[in-house]
Amino acid sequence: MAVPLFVSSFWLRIATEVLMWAGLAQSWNIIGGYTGYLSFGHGAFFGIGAYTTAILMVHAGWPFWPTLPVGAVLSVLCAATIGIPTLRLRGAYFAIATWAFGEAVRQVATVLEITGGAFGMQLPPFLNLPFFYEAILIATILTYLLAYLLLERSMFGYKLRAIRENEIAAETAGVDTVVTKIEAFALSAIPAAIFGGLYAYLITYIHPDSVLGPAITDLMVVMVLFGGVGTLWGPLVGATAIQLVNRLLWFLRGESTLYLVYAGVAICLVVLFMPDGLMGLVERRRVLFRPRENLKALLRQFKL
Amino acid sequence: MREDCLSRLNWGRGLFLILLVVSLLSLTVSPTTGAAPARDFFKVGVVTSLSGELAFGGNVTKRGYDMWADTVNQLGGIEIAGKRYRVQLIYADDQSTPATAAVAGERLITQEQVDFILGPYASGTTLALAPITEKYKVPHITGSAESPLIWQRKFKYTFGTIPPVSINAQAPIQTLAQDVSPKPQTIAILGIDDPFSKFAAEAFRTAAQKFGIKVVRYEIVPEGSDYTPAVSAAKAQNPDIFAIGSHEKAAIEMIKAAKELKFNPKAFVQHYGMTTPDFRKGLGKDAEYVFGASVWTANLNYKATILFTTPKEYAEKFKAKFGTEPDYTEAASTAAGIAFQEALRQIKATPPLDQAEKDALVAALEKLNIMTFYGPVKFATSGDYYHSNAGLQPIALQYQGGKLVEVGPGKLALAKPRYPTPPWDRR
Repeated sequence: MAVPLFVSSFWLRIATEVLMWAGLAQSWNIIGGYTGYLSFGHGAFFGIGAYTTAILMVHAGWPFWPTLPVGAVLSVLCAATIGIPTLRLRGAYFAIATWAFGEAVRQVATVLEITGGAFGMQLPPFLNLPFFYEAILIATILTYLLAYLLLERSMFGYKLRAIRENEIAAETAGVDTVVTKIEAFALSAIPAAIFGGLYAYLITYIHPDSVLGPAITDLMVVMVLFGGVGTLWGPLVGATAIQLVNRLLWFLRGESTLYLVYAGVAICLVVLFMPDGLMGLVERRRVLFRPRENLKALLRQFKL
Repeated sequence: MREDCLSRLNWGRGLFLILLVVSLLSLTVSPTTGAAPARDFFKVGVVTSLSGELAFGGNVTKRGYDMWADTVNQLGGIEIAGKRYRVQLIYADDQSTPATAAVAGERLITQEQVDFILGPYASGTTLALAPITEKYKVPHITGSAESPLIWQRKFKYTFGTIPPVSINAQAPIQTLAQDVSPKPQTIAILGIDDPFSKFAAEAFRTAAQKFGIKVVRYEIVPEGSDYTPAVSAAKAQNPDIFAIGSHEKAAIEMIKAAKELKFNPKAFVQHYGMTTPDFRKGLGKDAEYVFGASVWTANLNYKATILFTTPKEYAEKFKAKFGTEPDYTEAASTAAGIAFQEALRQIKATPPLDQAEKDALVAALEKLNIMTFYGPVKFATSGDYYHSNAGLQPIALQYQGGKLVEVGPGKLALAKPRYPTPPWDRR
């Protein structure tokens, strides 16, 4: 199989992880960044994708590829089901509902027999790292292409931004805000589920805590904030910076756990002083030493 | 605004250029990793949880592994065919997540080119690491993970020194069924829905059925809930034994709930959780009479020759080094190192190990049958517990007079089990 030149499998694995997180961060960015609705349960779609792949492969003997669209469809259905009641409301309700949804999915996966419950599930081992690198690279490219075409180059993207900036004005201008928001949420669930399926097959062992725990969603949110909310490249920049720095610190200072502190401090600094994330720096916008206003602007964007 | 649009467009082009380059790069073939450079010491990779929610347990395994490596190095190293080779431990934190455990394994094997690996604290991280050691054919012993799921997969390169909890949890039930009179007739089992605890609860049930004790209630509840209703439901069945499948924290809360409800079974049974200092601290004198299980205590009468001669000697040296008493996980982690050391000595392999030597090491581990301060180490080579330590006999423990005492099963007892437990108001 094809592998990047001069790359050891360790670095290939790290590249694979970075690409996966870049895709996951973009999936959150569709609803959280472009639409301005905080989804705190986005990890659930990742988990649904992971468990769909695991269950179909282990219990039904399916090959790997067809499990991915099934996971994506299931996630879209779940997103629509939560979105229809909650996206009629504004403000924090959606954030609370998605958080509750994420927790509920985790509890269900812990209780059901078919998910292996608290024991988790093992998938048939397929330890071909280049395969996963290629597959995740393609999935990430498609995710960004989708975001580029639908959010940067189409009416749909303008509608979403209108909703984010001023929902009432958007509605007055003739945007069916509820339907548009539900579409955005359903769309955002697709990449998350695909990467979930890929992750499950890559790691070969999944557990409610590892694929449905709050850490998955938290990382997506932090990566987008770090890179630049509601921009096409922000999630890529944020995910690359955070995952790469995390791994490099872990690699270079592996015997101490101080790297977690460095990472935490860096994230706080960006959120407080760089409201546009790292992308803001790239576009030479601003480093603003007014943390109070920066936080307020962020909260306003999320309608909190 | 116009400028903004233009810059976006350029960014778009930039992306496709970058992606094109990446895709092109990915069409070339990478060179395979070469042989490790010559060295006169063993490089030992350790993957365990040094951060994240399992950091406490991860550090327990670290103390056990350090105890092995430091003791070996004090003696000048592992003696192989008359020459001594020191060991160097290289730690990689698994951040308590399976994904990082896999990267950690990949790093230790491909970057550090370690000779063999000492494994993580938890079963979830071990299940992510084992496929990696399998892929690179690197021997791997975990001194802590013990989930039956690991052994069911029959990984060729993965071994473990602790018998599965499903075997271990039998010990107190067997003791109660065979070593006390009158024999208890009924049992209620309450478990927590994490893998370890659920396996323990299932093991209690299987053991009770095997020894003719009727299971009158079996319930699994989520971690962190209010346990009072579940304990109350168990009380309603008036069982002779109340068995708790959980880690120490939930066990403390359940026993407190039992006291509040004046629930007086003839025996309280737990397993590993009750051996921790936290259990004793959390319950004070209410820990008295509680039964549990372990695979190792410092009081056992094993006589060994490799590195430490007795459990007592190990415990003393351990306390002098770390200031705390060793528990079974620390002992089992040290024993994992000893297993490697002894297998290396048998095959006379010197560092760095090539692939043939790594495979010979696995073959030697499969044949290993040694007596250590931790007890017998003999890895199963067939059955459901493939490559877990089948040599060790778990022991039943009970708090008597504020101390943990070995009460069975059978000849392993150093004291008689105290049964039945007096009611709460007459303690």
